[in-house]
Amino acid sequence: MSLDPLVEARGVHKSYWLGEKEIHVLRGASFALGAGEMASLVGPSGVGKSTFLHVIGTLDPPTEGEVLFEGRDAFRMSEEELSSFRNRSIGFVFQFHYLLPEFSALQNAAMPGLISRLPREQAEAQAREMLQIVGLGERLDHKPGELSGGEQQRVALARALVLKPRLLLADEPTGNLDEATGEGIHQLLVELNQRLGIAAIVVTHNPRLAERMPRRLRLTDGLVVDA
Amino acid sequence: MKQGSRAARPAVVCIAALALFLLGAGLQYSLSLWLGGSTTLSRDALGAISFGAEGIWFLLAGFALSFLGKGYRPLPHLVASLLFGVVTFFVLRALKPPSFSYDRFFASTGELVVWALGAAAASWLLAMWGASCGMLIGANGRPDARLRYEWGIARTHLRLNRRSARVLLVAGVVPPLLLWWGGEMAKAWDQVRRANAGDVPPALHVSVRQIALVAAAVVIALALVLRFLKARADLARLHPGQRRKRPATVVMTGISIAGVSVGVWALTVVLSVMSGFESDLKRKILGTNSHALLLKYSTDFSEWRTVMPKVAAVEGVAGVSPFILNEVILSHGQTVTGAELKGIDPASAGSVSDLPRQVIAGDLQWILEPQLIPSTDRLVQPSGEASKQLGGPEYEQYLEDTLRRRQSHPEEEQKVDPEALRHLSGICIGKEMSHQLRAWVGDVVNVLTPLGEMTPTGPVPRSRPFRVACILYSGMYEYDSKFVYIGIPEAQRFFKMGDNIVGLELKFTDVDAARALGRRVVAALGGFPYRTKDWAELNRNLFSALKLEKLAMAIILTFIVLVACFNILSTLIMLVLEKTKEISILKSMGARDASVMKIFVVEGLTIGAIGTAMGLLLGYASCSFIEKFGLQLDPDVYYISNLPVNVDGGQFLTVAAISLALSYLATLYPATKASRLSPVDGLREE
Repeated sequence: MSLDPLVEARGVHKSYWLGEKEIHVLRGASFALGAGEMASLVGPSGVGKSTFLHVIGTLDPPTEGEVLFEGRDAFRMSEEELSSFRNRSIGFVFQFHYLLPEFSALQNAAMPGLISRLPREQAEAQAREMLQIVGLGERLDHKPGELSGGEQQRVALARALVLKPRLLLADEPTGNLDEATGEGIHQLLVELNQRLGIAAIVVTHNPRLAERMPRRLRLTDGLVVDA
Repeated sequence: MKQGSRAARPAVVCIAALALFLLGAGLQYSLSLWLGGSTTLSRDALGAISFGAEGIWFLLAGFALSFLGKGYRPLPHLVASLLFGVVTFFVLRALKPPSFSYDRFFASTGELVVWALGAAAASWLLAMWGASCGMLIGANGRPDARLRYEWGIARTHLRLNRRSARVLLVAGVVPPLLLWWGGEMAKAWDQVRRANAGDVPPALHVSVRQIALVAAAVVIALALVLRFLKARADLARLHPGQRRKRPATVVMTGISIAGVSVGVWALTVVLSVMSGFESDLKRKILGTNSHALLLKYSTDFSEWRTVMPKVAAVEGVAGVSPFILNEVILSHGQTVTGAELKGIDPASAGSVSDLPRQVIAGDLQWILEPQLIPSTDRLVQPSGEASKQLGGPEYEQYLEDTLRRRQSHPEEEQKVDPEALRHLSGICIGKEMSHQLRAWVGDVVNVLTPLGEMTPTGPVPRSRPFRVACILYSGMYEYDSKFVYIGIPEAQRFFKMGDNIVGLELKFTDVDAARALGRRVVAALGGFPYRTKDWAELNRNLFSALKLEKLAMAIILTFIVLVACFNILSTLIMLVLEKTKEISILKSMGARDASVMKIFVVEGLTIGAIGTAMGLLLGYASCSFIEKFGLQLDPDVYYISNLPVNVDGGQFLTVAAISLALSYLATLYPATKASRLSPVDGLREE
């Protein structure tokens, strides 16, 4: 493990303008996550958990402060470098699966590989492998519309992990699922963290699931604190 | 990860742009000078080539500068373009270009300002256009022109799959095939009608290939309809919730394709008909006239016999023939008409015009050998090459008017001694004139010239009888009613010219290079006092009117394509709005801005390309239909019996290029908008 943490946020501020009014969502949030570490992030609705995740995941630049990956400022990179960084090093899972409806599970999971310009065969081989791991080896050619909610979220997970990123950001991945299915997805996340050594931040509303994580973070008043 | 190279500063981009623009203008100027000096291209072609090269240069400059500036950089470009305009103004003022206006020779300052502003605007727009191509392949970072998953995603946006491809194929191929077949049937029917009219047993010629093609078209159409009905039935059996809704954008995509194809169709058909008129007119004018005239700034052209071989030896000259031209009055019986009397050499006339092939009856050679002209008691039947093209009620009426009249009044001719008649010189007249004068081969006509003798009572016009040696048909009313031909020696005697001629008629190997080749001929003869006038100069008003008309039609019809491209624009904007979430997800997975831009540009270009292909096919089929069906025109107005069509491959390619270029431009706004969406724009919505 290097001396620098995998990802570090330093005094991150983020505010939106809602008409004339400025809404401060993050007010100098700081935190660090080591490689392979797994944390849950809890907090009431509307407190800015998704915004925090987007800033950490380099999707949304902070109003103030910086986000460092292994000591390097992510938002100083060019558009192209940032894209390639997101492609290789970060995986996202959202509350909704956001799969491309016209493509099969295999094609969806292979998309990050195709974006990084891997040959089609290689991208699909990696996607097949990852779909095996999440337990969907039998449903490669099904389109998202032909899969159940839990299966769709598993495909989304396979898509996020297909290029073996360093960091997985999951924004309420079980929010739309029934308890048993959600439990299964969570179980899978923990397993993958241990098996692949991917660091992860999982936003959740379910205190029972949050409890099970090695590290628990809480977002209050625009700050991130260890619970 | 290493830091990428930074974008150049605005001043650097601006200076580089200015340098490239000036280089482009220099390229245009030197290219036009060089081509003008070393080739025989016309002035229009020179302008088209050199300014085309300059435009491409500007595109490339914008493309290269987008890499230097790592983006569009519109402002530095604008400054450079304005400076370029200022430089252009001063350079033009120093060069003193000719004016477009007729009331002055050099262009006025106002004209120069317009030119300079045009240069500035063109350089900016073209550079931005080039920059968009640069952005498309990722000019802001590592260039990447690959188009793999982008195409896959674009295809799903357009719902382009096997089924829809089949629908498009059938929709694009069946109507043109039916049109083409309709034309073939019309042609076959026309043959049957002609055969019936000529009391020949009808023979319907329908080839096996035609039958097979039509059968294939019908089978495909039927299969499609059945499939469609089956799909409908399947859909009806599904639970309402299971039905896949067709988004509005798919319908809009179809409408956009239809719009582009209608525009392209109209453009190709109208341009083909216009160039059909043009080439028909050109064919008729050049059938009677030569490509150029070699004249002299003097009435003395007695050395023509030595000049002729010199001219014939010049490279690019295909034929030479001497001529004499004068205005006369012709009379036959009670009818009198004005005419242009042309003295020609029948032996070499065929090498500069189609005169020998325009004969309806008689023989062009008979103007030199009048003793061969049959006497009036023997009726010469129409037998020449041109008589085969003629037909229809109009022609029958003409023959009846001209021939029957003579049969019913034979006594008119018999007043003259037949032996004396045999020594009269021959004259060839046009079909319309023969109709007007009611004169046929063998008849005697009087030719009167105002250049007569001076007598004690004043000038008296000279007149002389000639015998009609042949009747000519060129297809141009003016020529057929105005021109009469006699032999050179006869004309020299009649006008008392000695051994002079008016000039030489020239035919070139390349009609369109007539002006430059004419200059070459004059140069070979040592210049002054010789000069040439080419056919375009001799018929300038006619052809410039045609050209202007064609240009105006092309511009008006391009607006149809332009409107169709606005369809593409709105379809793509709808698609971008519909796919905002998808764009966000792709970006969160690491898709570059350039890739997102590519997706939407490719979609627009695909719509444009499919529409263009359908339009071109339909246009080609329509042209072939018009040609075979033979749309009748009023012969009194047009002097062409059918609507002429000229299918020109180059014209079709130009139309396709215009349509694709406009489609590309239509994609730029939505595609750029989509590429600049922030990844969180689509994620925040829910």
